[in-house]
Amino acid sequence: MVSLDAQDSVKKLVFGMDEQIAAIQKAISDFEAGQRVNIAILALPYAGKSELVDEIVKMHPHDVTKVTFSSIIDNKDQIPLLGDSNKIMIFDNCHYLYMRKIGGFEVIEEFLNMVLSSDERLYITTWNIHSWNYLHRVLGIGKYFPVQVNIPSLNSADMKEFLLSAYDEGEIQFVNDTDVKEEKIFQVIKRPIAKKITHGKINLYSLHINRVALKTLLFNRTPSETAESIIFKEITKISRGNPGVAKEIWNKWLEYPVIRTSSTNTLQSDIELDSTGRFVLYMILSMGYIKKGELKNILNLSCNIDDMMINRLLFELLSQDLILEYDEYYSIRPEKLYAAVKYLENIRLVW
Amino acid sequence: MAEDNVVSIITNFENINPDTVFASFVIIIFAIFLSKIVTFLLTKISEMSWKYRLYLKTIIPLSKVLIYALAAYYILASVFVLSFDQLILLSGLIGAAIGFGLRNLFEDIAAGVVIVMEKTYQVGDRVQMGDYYGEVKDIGLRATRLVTPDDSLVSAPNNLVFTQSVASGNSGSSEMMATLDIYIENDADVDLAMKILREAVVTSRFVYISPTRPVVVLLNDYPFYKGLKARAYVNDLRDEFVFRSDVTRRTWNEFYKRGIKPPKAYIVNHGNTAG
Repeated sequence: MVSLDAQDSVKKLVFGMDEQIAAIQKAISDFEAGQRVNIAILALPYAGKSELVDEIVKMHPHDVTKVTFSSIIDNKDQIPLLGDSNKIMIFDNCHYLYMRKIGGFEVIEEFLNMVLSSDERLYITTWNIHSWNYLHRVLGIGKYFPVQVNIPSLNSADMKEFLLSAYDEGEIQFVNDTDVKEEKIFQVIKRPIAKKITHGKINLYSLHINRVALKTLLFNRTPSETAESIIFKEITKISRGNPGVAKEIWNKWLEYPVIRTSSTNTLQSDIELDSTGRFVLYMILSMGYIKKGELKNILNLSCNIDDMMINRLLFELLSQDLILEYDEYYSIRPEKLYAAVKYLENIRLVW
Repeated sequence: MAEDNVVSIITNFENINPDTVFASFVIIIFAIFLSKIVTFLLTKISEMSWKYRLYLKTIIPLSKVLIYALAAYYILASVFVLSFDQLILLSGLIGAAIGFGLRNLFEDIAAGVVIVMEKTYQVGDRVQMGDYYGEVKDIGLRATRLVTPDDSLVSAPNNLVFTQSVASGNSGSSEMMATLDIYIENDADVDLAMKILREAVVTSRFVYISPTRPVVVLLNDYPFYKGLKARAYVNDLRDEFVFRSDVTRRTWNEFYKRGIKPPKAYIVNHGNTAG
């Protein structure tokens, strides 16, 4: 059904997703053989779920109709009518079909009803994993999509291949500028204070921790390890194998055409938010991208907070570098994605 | 043999001098400080991890018992230089003496040990002890300290576990069930009301839902009105009351929008009749 050439091209474009593509292909083959099992593709923001379904579209260009939701659908009438003759329907970003507020499930219930009632079509859907987990516990949506495909994390080798695919061989120079052998892990730093006022020698002593050297000691990094290996290991670790997040970190660290190991010494800051701020962070995480107006619509009803309060909360999230604002859309800052997930898991807003 | 031990104990106690008293005093002070430091550190660490908060807090009373027991052992064995046999004998004598004189105090201490060992309730649990309801802040050797919803600190003697039933709302888990009742007019659209109440619960920012922690909405029919009861788990037991308030507020806002009104009849307190 799918040519080898087509499969090869997919392998080159979608890194580390061979098993997921095979699972989707099997579901499509089963559907053609008469057995329908709808598919849900689940992933965190930036993980590449849309890229995965794009490859499926490329593999079945004449059999598939793809619908992408790019903002919250708050009216049943906005669900596209399925007049198309194609039997395979792909709905990208289905987490935009609900809102976490009273009356916010009508659209998704209508959509699920449509999925259930049309036996002659195969539905391939993509979801933000946190919205999916929520909806699965609230509405039991797992029953509608028996095949659930989780997008896996890339390993260090795949990550290297993915990140370097945009460059020629040898174009990027990896520099090891942290000679960890000679550096002390702990250093007492002396800082003179109030010299102008006291005219005396009053010093403040503080303990400085060299994180790179500490990491080296803890993770037994060998001195002979190449700069390239160190950088890709760090990027994979910080991004937890999420290609979108890794790309953002790569772009941040890259001083074209040089990337240095000292860039891996990034500071982690604690997240401090009140209960409403946490909920706003959760809403942004579970939607991936959300407009200010949509956020206001949900929060006005679910938290009874006014516009001024929402602006304050968004300002707080922006000032803590947790979210990005782009063209009225808010999203979690890629490099802070896993810190935010961990924080929300810890306080059990993410299940 | 026992007689020799008694004589030896008496001799040891006769030999108590200011140095021995001072050494014992220093050990007691040290044990108190150590206990405070350990409690402070474990509380700090547990507050950093919401998920494992209650598990970590369980260690606090255990560590206190251990520290005080070690301090007592050290005083008797090292300062008063008593042998193991003499220690056993002395503890028997002390037990008998306090059995008559300080019965209540030692009943509380025994109950404290039982609470720690049996985990009747743990630090962080929401419990009903006697007339008091609140979060367990500390399980001391003599008393358990509760913080009530009105932020009063109540010190309840540990021996209540021997004489009264103690109800723990969460039993060591971070989440706990919260129930709330809403009463509506008899001719209101019950299906719509139940749907709204369920949605108010599942969309609350304080709710926790899992296969073993489901949301349940029940209906009860009374002569002059209908009663809805929602049962759900709040993700952190400290938010129990905020959760109830949040759900009630949003439910009534939606009820008024959709024409569902509260009953005009006087509502009788039905307790747990809705299930």
